[in-house]
Amino acid sequence: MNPQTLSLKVGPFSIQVTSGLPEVISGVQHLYGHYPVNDNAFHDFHVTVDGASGVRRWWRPQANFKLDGILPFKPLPRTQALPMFEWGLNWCMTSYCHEYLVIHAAVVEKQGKVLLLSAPPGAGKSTLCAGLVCRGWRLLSDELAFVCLDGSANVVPLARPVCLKNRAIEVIREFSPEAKIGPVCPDTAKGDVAHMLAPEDSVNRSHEEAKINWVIFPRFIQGAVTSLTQRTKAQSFLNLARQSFNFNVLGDEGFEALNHVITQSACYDFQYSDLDEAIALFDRMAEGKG
Amino acid sequence: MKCLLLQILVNPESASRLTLEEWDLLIRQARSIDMLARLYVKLKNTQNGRVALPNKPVKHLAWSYKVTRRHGHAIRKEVEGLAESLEPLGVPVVLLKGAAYSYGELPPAEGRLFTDIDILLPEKVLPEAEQLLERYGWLSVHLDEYDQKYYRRWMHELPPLRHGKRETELDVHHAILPKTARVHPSSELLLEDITRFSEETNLYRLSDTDIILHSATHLFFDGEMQHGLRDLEDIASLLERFCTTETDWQALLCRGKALELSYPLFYALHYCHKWFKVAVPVDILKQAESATNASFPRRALMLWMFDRGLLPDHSSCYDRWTGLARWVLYVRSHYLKMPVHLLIPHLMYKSIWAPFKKRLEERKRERKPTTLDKLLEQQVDAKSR
Repeated sequence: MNPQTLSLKVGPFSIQVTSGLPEVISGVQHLYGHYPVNDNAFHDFHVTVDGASGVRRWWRPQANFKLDGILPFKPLPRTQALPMFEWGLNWCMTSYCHEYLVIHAAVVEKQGKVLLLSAPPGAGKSTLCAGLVCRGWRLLSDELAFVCLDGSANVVPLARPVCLKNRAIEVIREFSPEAKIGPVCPDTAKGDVAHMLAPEDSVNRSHEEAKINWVIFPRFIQGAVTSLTQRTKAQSFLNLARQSFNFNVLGDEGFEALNHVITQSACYDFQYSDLDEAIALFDRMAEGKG
Repeated sequence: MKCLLLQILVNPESASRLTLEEWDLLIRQARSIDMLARLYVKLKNTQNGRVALPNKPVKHLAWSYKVTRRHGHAIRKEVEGLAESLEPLGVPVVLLKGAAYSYGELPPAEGRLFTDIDILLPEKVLPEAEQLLERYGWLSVHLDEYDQKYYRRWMHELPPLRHGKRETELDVHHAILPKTARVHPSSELLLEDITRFSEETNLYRLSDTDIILHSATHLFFDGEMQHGLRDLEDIASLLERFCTTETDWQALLCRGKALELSYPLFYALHYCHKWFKVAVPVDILKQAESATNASFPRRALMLWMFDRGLLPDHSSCYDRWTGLARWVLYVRSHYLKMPVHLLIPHLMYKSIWAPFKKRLEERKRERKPTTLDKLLEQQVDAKSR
């Protein structure tokens, strides 16, 4: 196939993606079909996802992600080309963008109230995020929270597809049959992976920053009672600093920005086993009844 | 010339006339060669905020600049720690390349990212230095016996070290070129003429002329030219700082001869003059050229290759010969470092025997438990089977 090029705007970034792999082009079109196209000549990142050359074209074929000729990763099996695009985009943003404090966290908003969800992989952060989004919360981030450095504790939206792993794919399908989920890619480094499309409303409101109200450390525990317990601010600060990609690059600026987030938010540990209950709790909080 | 980045580096004022499309290309070229932050510095110094440059591209430059600022702080801390760790040696600790630019706030430093720290010590103190460094957490990166021997026997440095906690890389040199290279710039001469950064520290750098010569050597003699244009710009900025009078230029040529480095010096002067418009006097260029003793066809061939190899490794800067020129330069960099009778066995070892040995060892390790835990695990496994 001749390489095809797509140009789109994702949050504050404009991306140009070129690929000779039809599944990548159709995958990106599926996941990002409702995003605005970039209307000017400048792109923040020119990326390509292509099949590897040489024997790897035929024998156990592989795919490569490149940022304008730069290869950040080793090749992956070609079946993982689409998730590779997503991970590659994450890498571009976290490696180059230091305009914000970038934290590995999900961010959702309802009625002006904003939750930041931070958890280690496998703790059920993306599932909770996807569940909230399926119940009308606005998606501001699934993996990369962009916190402003101006002391406002605002998050700049980066509504991208939500990455669901392993059992979470089925859970969300059952929880919300109308959720649009892309192709499942089995056996990646993170297990089975599929991406849930960001809702149209979240994409359209990509310019609306929102101020963080709650910092939540969720944990899915089989059979656990839904409960919210306070976590100390100092501990929360350290947790988020550790989850940040560029805390060390930003130095004082990053420290101050995180300080604003933590002092202006309530911080909780949250455990849950029932997604409906969990969402009901956050809904009540957003309505000011929690 | 097709390289927009070079045009803007030489003439930053013209950035105000770029279209958004050209900005797109400029950022891509600068990123490919790690010069985003350096470009930021150039634009900041000339524009003085008089002209509003487009926001989105300039952000990329500013982001990268932030990274280099942090990096500069980290390098400072690190080299001060090194000076302390190496104090018992009783010899000056000479910073080379990036660390020297950064610590001495020399012209190439601002907006420049350095990946590792290089220091120069007299060869006789190296064993003691290695012990001291180990005590302070600097550990060898290559644990393979062959690599260890290779570095110690043929190279101009200890096997590269990395700090166990901070992961900073450190190269401890006793010379600026490998023992096997075609020329041997005398380390005694270099160390006789070093400059102290300040009274308070035991940290030094090479003299004004030597720092230029070393930079040129690194680029035109032993480098693989991945960052050719960036390294050339380093030299241009050093020349502009340190060579202002006829005496300076003569001293540079003279020192180049004494250190057997006339060859890289000529190419450095040629390209700084031709590309970065550094005011190298015509007679100096001529003298530098004749000092290389290279025949006209050979010089023409080298120029043909450097014309391509020095440009950013970005598709927009390629012509049909770039691939070939880069490949020849790569082969050449190895050839210059090692005579063929050593190079061929070395490459054979690296490409055939080393991977084979690694496989063999992995298999052995699989069979042989290395810790008590693994031993027990294996016994449990065997039982359950």
